[in-house]
Amino acid sequence: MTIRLTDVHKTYRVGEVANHVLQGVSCTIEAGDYVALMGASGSGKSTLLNIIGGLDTDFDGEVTVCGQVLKRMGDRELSRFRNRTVSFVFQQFHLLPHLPVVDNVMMPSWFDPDRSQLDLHDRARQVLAQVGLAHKAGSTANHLSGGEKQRVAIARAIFNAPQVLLCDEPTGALDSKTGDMVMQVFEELHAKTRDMTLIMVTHAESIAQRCRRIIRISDGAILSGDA
Amino acid sequence: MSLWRTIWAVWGNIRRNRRSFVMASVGLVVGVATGTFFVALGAGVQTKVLNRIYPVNQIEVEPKTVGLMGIREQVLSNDRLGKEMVREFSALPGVTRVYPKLRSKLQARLWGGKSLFGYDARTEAFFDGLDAALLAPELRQVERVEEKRRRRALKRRRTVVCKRDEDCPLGQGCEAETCVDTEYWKRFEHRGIQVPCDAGKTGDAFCPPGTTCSAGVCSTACSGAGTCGAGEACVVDPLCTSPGATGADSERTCAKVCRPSCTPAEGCADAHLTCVATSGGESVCAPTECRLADPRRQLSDRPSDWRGEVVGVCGNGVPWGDPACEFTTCPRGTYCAGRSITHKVGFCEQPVPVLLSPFLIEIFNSSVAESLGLQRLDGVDTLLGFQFRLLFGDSYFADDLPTEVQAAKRAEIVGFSNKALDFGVTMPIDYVRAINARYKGREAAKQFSTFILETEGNEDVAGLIAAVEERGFQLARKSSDARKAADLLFILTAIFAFISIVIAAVAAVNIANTFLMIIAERRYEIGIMRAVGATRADIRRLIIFEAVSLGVFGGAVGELVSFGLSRVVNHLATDHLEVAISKPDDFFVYEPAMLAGAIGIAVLFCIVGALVPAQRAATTDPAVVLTS
Ligand SMILES: Nc1ncnc2c1ncn2[C@@H]1O[C@H](COP(=O)(O)OP(=O)(O)OP(=O)(O)O)[C@@H](O)[C@H]1O
Ligand SMILES: [Mg+2]
Repeated sequence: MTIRLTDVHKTYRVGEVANHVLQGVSCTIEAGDYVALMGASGSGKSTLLNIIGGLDTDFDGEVTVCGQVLKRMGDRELSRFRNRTVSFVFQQFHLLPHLPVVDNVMMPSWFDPDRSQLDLHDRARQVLAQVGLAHKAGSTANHLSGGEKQRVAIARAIFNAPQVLLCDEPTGALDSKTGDMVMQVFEELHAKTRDMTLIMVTHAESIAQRCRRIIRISDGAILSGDA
Repeated sequence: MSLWRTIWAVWGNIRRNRRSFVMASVGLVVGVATGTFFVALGAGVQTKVLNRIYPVNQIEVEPKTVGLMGIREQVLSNDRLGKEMVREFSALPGVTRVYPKLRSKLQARLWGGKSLFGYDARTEAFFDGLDAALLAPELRQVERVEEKRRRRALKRRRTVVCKRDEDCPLGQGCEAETCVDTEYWKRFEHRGIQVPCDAGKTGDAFCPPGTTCSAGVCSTACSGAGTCGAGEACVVDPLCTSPGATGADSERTCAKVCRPSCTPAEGCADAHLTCVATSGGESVCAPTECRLADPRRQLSDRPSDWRGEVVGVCGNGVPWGDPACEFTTCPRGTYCAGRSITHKVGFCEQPVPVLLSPFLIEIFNSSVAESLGLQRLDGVDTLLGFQFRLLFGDSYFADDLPTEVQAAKRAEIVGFSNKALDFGVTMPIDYVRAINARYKGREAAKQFSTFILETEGNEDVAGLIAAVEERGFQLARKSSDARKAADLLFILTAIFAFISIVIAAVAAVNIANTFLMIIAERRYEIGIMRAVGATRADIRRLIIFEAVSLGVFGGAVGELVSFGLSRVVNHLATDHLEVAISKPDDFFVYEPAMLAGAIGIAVLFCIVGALVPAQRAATTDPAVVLTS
C-alpha cells in the first residue's frame, strides 16, 4: 500500500481559539489508486493533502507515504520527499509568471542534485506533450490561459515522475469546459502510469464520479469510502 | 540547488526587480563612493604631497632646547654635534643612513634677478648645507630627467665630440666625451671654492676641518704619497711657485697638499682648474688664479666685468710678464672671484650650485609677485640655471663684517627640493663647511645643526624618535610638522571612512526593508519552490546571493562614482589651485586592496541587511501560502 494514515489529528490555534480540523483520520490508499476527496468547505481536505504531501508536519498521529514516515523526517529529507516522491497541483496553478513554460516545467530539477542536466529539456518537452502543450514550451507562463496554466502545472508535477500526485481542486478556478479538458489529462495520466496514486480534492460530484473511489470527510473524520 | 542554477535564478530575480534593486543600492553607492574617495584622497595626499615634503622613512632631529627666561638654550654641548654623533645615530637600530645638515653661521645677503624681474631683487640670505647624494633622486624627479632624456632620444641629434664643457654648444655639457644637454641636478655637487687664509696671523684656525693654510688658501694637507685620495697626488703646493702674485708674502706659507693628477694634454675636467707642472715634475690640477681691473667689478651685472683675466698664462703663448702678453679670461662657466670684495686678485670659480624650496616659489607667486608688481614664476624650468650673487659678511639685520673679509660669490639655481631651506638657499654641505670655517672658525664647521635619519620603513620611526630623544635631541620643526600633518590626515581619513561606514550601515537598514518587501511579493514563488523540493537552505541562499550581488553592484558603482569624482577634483585642482611645484597631477591613490576592501564591506552590509529577510523567507510555511 502507498499511503497509510493512522489516527491523524490536526489542530490550528489562532490566538486563544483552537480549531480541531482533523480528529483522528485513519485510512489507507493503495498504489495506483485514483481517489476523489470530498467534503464541505473547511472540513480539512486541503489540510489533509498538505499533511500527506509533507508540506505540513505539525500534526499528531502517524502518516506513512511510500514507506517513509513523515513525522521523523528533517527539512532536507522532506524537501527531497516532495521533490521525488509526491507532487502537487494547486487550484491557483502557482507558476512562476516571469519564466518560460519550459523553465516552469523543469523547476523540480533545480532542487534535484542527482539529476543529469543533459536530458532536462527532452524530459520537459515529453511531459508538455503529455498535457498537449508541446507548442507552448517557449511562451512566458503569464501569457497562457487558465486551462493552459493548469496543464503546465500538471506537467511540472509529473516532471520527476512522482509516485503520488496530490491535486487540490485543480479545476476549481476553471470553467466547466476547460475543467473537463484538465480532467481528461488526469485520466490519460492515470491510464498511462498505472502505479501513480492520484488524490484529487473536489467539490463537484460529477468530477468525483469519474474517480475510482471517493473518500468523504466531515467533522474531522472520514465518513465513507474507506473500502 | 547548484551554484549555477542559483546564480541564474538570482540574475532573473534582479532583472525582474531592477527598480527596487537600484533604489536599495543608492545608499550603498553613496557610502562606498564617499569612503573610497576620502581614503584614496588621504593616501594620495600622504604619498604625493606629504611624503614629498618629508618622506615617512626620514626624520630630522635637532638638539633639544629648553626655555630659560625667554631665551632658548640648547641642552647638549656643541662638541656632541660632530662626526661622532653621525656615527652614533648610524648605529641606532633601523637607521640606514644619516645625513648631517649644516646651517650657515654668518650674515649674508643675496641679490640678482634683473633678467627675470627687470630689476635686482635684494634680500637677506640664509643658507644651509646638505649631503648632495641625499637629494639626487628628488632633484631628478623634480627636473623630470627621464622625460627629458626620452624626448631627447626621439629627436636624434648629431653628436659633438668634446673634452670639456667649453667645447659644447650652449645649453649642453661634456659627458663621456660627447656633448649632452645640461641636466641641472648633476651640478649639485661640491666643486670647491677657495677659502682665503692668513697663515701668519691665524694659521689653520679659519680653514675647514682637514685643510691647512697654504699659499694663502686652505687646501687639503698631506705628508707623502698615499696620504691623498684616489687620483690625487701629494705635491708642494703649485700656488707657491705660480707666476702671479696672489697676496702678501706672509700668506706664502707652503705646505704639501693634495691635488688631482692630470696630463697637460688632457687638461682638467673641472673648468676652474688648470693642469700645471710642479717642481717635482708631476702634473696636477691647481686653482686658476685671476685678477680684476677693479674689485668692485665683482658686483657688476655684466659678464664681461666678472670674467677677469687669468694670471700666469698668456693666450698667445708668450711668457708671463712679456709686454706682448694677450690676457685670457676665466674659462666659460667660471668667473673671477676675488679673495674679498676689496681684493683685485682671486681665483676662477664655478658658481655655487644652490637649491630652492618649492614653497619659496609658491609664496613668491601667491603674494610677493603681486604686491611688488613682479612677474610670476612659471614652474621649474625658468629658474634652472639662473644665477645671482651672494655677499658673505654683509647684512640688513646684523652688523657687517669689515669689507676686506666680505666676499662675493655667484650662485646658480640647479634644482628644487622640499628639504631645501624654506626661506633661503641650500647648497652642498662642503660649501657651508668652508664658509662657516672662513668666517667663524674651524669649530663652527664641525658642528652640524640637524641630522636627517633615514630608516628602512615607517615602522621603525616611532622607536627611533624615542632613542633620539634619550640622546638630547628632538624632532626638527619641519619633521615634526610632517608627522603632525600625517597624523591629522590619518585622523581625517579615519573620520570620513567612519562616516561612510555609517552611511553604509544606514543603507543596510534600507536594504533589509527592500528585501522584506521583495520576499513578501514573492511568497507564492517561495512557497512553490518549497513544494517542489527546495530546502530552507536553498531559499536562504537565494536571498543571500541576491544581497551579495547587490553589494558587488553597489560597491562597484560607488567606486566608479568615486573615481569619476576624483578626476573632476584633479581637473579643478589643476585649473584653480595656486601652487607651482609640489602639486601632483593626481591627488588620489586607488589601491586594489582598498577597492576590494570597499566592495567587501558593501557585500558584508548587504548580507547583514538580508539576514532577517532571508530567514523569514526560509521559514515561510508553504502550506499556508499555497492553500489560502
Ligand atoms: N493556516 C491556518 N491557520 C488557521 N486555521 C486554518 C489554517 N488553514 C486552515 N485553517 C482552518 O482549518 C479549517 C480547514 O481548512 P482547509 O483549508 O483544510 O479546508 P478545506 O476543506 O480545504 O476547505 P475548502 O473546500 O474551502 O478549500 C478551516 O476552518 C480553516 O479556517
Ligand atoms: Mg481547500
